[in-house]
Amino acid sequence: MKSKHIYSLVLAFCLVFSSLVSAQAGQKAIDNYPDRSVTIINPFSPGGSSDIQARIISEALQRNMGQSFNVVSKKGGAGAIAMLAAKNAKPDGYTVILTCLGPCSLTPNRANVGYNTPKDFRAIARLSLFPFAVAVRADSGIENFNQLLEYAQKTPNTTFGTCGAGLLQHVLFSDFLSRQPDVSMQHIPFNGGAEATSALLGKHVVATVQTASEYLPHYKSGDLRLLAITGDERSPVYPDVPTFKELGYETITGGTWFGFAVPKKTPEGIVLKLQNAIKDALNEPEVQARLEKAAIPASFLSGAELDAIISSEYKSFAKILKSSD
Amino acid sequence: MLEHIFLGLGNAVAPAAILATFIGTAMGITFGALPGLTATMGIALLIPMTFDLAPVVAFGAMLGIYVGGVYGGAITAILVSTPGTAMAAATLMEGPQMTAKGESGKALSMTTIASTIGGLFSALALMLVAPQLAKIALSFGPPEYFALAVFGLSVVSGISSGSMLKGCLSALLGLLLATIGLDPVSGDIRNTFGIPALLTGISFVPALIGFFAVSQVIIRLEEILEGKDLNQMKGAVASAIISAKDVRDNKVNLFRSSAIGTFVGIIPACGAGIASFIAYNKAKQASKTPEKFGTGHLEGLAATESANNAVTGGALVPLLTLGIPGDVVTAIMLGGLMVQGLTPGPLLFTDYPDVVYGIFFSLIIANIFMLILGMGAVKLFAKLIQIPQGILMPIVVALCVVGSYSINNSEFDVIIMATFGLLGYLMEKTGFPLPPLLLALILSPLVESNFRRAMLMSNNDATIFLTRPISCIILLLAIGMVVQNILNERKRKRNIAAANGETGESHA
Repeated sequence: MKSKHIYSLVLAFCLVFSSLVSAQAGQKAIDNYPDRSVTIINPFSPGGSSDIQARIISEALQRNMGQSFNVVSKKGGAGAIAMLAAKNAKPDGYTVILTCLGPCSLTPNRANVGYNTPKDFRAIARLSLFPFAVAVRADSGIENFNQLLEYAQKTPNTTFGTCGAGLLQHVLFSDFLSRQPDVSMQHIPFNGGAEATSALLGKHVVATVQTASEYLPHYKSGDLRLLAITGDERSPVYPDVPTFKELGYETITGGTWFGFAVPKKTPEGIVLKLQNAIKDALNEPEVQARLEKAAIPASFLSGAELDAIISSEYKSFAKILKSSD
Repeated sequence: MLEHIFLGLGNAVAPAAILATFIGTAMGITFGALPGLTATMGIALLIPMTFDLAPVVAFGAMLGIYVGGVYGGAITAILVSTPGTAMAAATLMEGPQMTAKGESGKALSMTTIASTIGGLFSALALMLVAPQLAKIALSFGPPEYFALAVFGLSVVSGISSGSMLKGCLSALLGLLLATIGLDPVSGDIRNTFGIPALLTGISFVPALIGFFAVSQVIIRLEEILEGKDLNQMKGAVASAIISAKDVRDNKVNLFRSSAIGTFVGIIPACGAGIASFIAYNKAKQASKTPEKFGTGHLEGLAATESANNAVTGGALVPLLTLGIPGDVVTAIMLGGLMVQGLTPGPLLFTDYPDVVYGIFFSLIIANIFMLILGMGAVKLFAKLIQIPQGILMPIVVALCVVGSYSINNSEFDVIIMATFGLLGYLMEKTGFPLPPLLLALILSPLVESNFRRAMLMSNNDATIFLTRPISCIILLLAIGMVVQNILNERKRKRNIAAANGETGESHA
């Protein structure tokens, strides 16, 4: 009987000790983070706006955290390839993904790609928010958004182009049109924003719905007129363009955001460390100037706030995609 | 105006700019030549380093990588039939055969000279008539793109000599394989068999590498097993370069191909691949010795290489004048310009004329560096082929694996590469020509999505392709091309039959 007690005592001791050691090792890993190079996965092509953001931020993180942050492109599968790679990475904070709305909420609700964003990931911080805008040619005679809707009512087969079928711009505007009982427009999907813009300039489509930054050179030169923009407030880059809200309309999202995420089981301490480092980086004037030059609208949100946005978007996109089937 | 030109020239020849252009060009050639490293990656890596550089210095480096990358892709395509980039796809029609004949030195030197001529031609076109050319780019809508892509597909009739039927079957297989992935119009998932990696379709470069390089390796392996001596090619021949006469003989060909390349480059989203194939077919039709095409013919190589490098200047036209990039590389350059606070588009020419002219001159300088570096390296590269096959082939396989993996850091792409290697081997063994499949794989997305876009625009009225003048003209040209190719083929067969008949009679 007594020996049994001793055994249990020893066992308990061992358990307590080992958990202490592992807790301490865990704490040590958090304190020392990062003690080697960190990989940032970019789900899109090198050189795109996601890649440029990743590189501007990684340069600042590298400077402030003393370890290199390497950007690796893993494009394909509408972002699913990169998301799966990040999901299956060790949850130690050394593999981070720079993701955005599409791969988080659109792709997994469209096909069975093997991840559920709210369940498998936790957000570190939001970096930027890109609003979408509707544009026509300046010489089209369409002066405002309501005139476009009237024009579409009168003219059968009025076309609008986007950067691709089933992408956010398409889903957003189709959802908008589905709530306007007398307006119908014909969607023409292009392969990327550049093709859509060139079709608009060349008078091959009446309007386009795109990320607002796509229009910048033609907005500045006066060739295109922006009729409405998503988001809660007007964009400082396009101050004369009214928001959908001002015009009395609703859109399913205010724009596409970019932010960092890690596998769900990554320790809280590391997530917070990265979150604060990113916040500091975004406050540096040099980083701000670079982002502004590259036409990237920086917009910080904490990991917890971004997590909340992701779970609500994940649900609403599941609903919309199901109803459109 | 003149003042801006001189300021621009001054910007481009400043020591820092010259150095940046030189390093960029050397880096571009290396990145282009190594499968798995691309000009796209090179420029993306460069962008963070250019944050604090003057615009023309930054752009000089990017243009160097672009120009060098397009050219460099041909080097490995010629030597080991493993193209470093997708832009060198058409190089595979003549390059490897020339190497097999022991003419790798000739092939590489012609590539260098043709690339330089193409590059300089397009740079001049960009400099002199960019704003006017930009209007052409905008006049191309979905119906016109469809017509152009059909024109590209009609080239199949010209590159499958010997067996047009097998060529067409090969192209059809390519069109079928290209349907894998997301439907370009509805966004539905097609033929992916539940594999997420196939959602965005078959990755082109791994398929290309497997199809041409791995299939060749298997064939060599088979020849070794059959006991053939593979080291009969002699290095002395390999390092001989082309003569001035070779260039003079191809004068018209080089300029025609450069013009085709520039024109196709101007139209966004068409790319260097199509330009080379069209130029190749035109050169074959105009040639006095069309039967030599496909057997390692210098004329064919001159056409493909000048055309794909001429795309560089062409692609900069819509980028600089409209802010519309024509391909991935120019899309990244757009990012590079934006980071500099320069927004490409109509205002760039009026607000920053000195930067624009600086860019023009940098492009010319990059092409000159490419010529110098290329000619210097020809003899060295040509000797690569003296490496015994038993050592070279495993290196090629290693390059293929690393190359297809690193394009997208994807294990699945290695499987794609291996599968296409097997497919290429089987097709080669059964006498199906490989280039038509490749061409179809390149053109299928253009053909399909633009056909459907045009039908959506016209409310399902197919006459849209005939009522729009540009589209109608291009379609007629495509028909003309097929008819001419068929007639040429018949004539050739008759000649062969007649020749056989004669020898038959003389025997009798």
